Amino acid sequence: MSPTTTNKSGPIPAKAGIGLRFPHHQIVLESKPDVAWMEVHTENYMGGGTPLRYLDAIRRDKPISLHGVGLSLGSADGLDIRHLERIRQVAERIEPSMMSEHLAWSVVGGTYLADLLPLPMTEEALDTVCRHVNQTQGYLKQRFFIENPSTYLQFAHSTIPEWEFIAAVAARTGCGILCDVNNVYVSAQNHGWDAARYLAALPAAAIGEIHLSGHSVRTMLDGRELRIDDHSSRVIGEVWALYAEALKLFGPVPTLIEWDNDVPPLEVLLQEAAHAQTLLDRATHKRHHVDAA
Amino acid sequence: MSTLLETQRAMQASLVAADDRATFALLSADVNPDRINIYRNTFLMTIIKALRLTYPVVLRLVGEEFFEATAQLFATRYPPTIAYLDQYGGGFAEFLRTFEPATGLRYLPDVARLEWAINRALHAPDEEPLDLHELAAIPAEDHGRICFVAHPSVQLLRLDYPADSIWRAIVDEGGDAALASINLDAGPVQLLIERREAGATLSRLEQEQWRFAERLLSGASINEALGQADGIDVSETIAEHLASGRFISFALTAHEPISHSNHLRY
Repeated sequence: MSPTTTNKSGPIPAKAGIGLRFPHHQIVLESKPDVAWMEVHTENYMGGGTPLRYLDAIRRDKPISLHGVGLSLGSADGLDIRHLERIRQVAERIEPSMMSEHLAWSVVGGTYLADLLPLPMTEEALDTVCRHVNQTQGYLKQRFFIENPSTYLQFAHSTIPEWEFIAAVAARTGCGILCDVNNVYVSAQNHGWDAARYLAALPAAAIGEIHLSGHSVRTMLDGRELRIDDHSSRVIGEVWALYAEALKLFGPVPTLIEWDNDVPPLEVLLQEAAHAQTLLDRATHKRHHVDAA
Repeated sequence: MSTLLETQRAMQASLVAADDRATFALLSADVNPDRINIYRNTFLMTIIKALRLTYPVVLRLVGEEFFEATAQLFATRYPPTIAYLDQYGGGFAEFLRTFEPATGLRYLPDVARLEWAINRALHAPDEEPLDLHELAAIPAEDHGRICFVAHPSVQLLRLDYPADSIWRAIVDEGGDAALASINLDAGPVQLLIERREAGATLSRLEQEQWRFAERLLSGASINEALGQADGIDVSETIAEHLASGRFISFALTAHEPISHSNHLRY
């Protein structure tokens, strides 16, 4: 619909970006905030009407990443080809600089369970995810980036550590990895993993994006704390520290601030992005230093 | 060892039917089973939120507590079938019609039907309206053979209760006085709902206008639709539909025209 020549093209820069949500459509269009790129949830721009008109307009100034939440790459039943087609239609119109989905599942028996559900970390699940990533990349003729999830459960029959699972998906399919540092922290805390070890096990060359967000802490019936990835607050200090570690391992990577519930004024997102940018600048500086030496 | 499908069916039973037996059997020994509640809550909250967005006027009419409970029941009985929640909840009106606690509000299902039509209009695909120059190329004697393709945002609805007045009273913040002034027994209303720049618009049509529009919008030729056109100015009516962008294309039916009158004014 929109003329392709007017879109901001090229890759997502290795800078800080923000997740664009409906409450900020108008102010982003009017104020043109100084942020390098934006990401939206693909499912929010299916069909037609007002949301797409905003995105058409914003897309002219900023590179956009399409981040899906409903493809269900881990479904034993197979991919919903109609959903893949809906994604393709959004991509055709928006011409995203990047596309991503989650290492998760949400559809079984024709029912959409409206959440990013945990996979058993088994060879069967690995084969299933790889098959679906290949199918997706083939259908959309674009490289996909797969995000590590935050999880609250572990299955007794899991045999592969999550970091090895996601590295294997990247190795087998050629997809990239979207490393959600908050999710690494949340899952590591919930399951007693070593977050630094998780990051170190990921193939640095495959990391194309980092996500950062806030999470909450809840005390469960057994008296233990559970970290809930609810995207409704600022990034906590421990996650910023882990992010700095991630940048040492991966080098400067496009970094997104996500906020989905109790969405604050745009200013707050920009502050968080500015902080991420400070850490990115340090990492870039250090990298140049190393390159020069 | 449980297969992937068995694991996913177990979690489906947990989330949709609150039956955790199969999931519990699959969890690592050190995982407290109440963690499954995190997923169940997200599933329900996400779907209830989708229903709140689609049915804000129903929500206002029944109140928060009643709506949440009703939406949760609907969500577990009729969970979404696709990962595109803007298309979820079309059966809510029918659910309300037979939902005993809601039957006291006899107009509620009609309000829900209206809100579903508005939702469909708002999320319909974008299509360019018909270019009138294309129509100008059709000779007058062939006008009766024209079959229009409707813009996907255009919805026609016939309701027993004046749900449009109720909708407007709520949306315009008219308060109880505005609601109280509505005569619920004034008879059926015929509505045309469509998406415009500023959002969804609702128009009331006379019965004949509505029937004619229903024929035309469902792809009948102008000649075929004329059977439903008693007492209306067909040229003027079609001109208004065209000017409002309610058609995106047209085709000509093969059969011979039965009327040579010029029905098009544009």
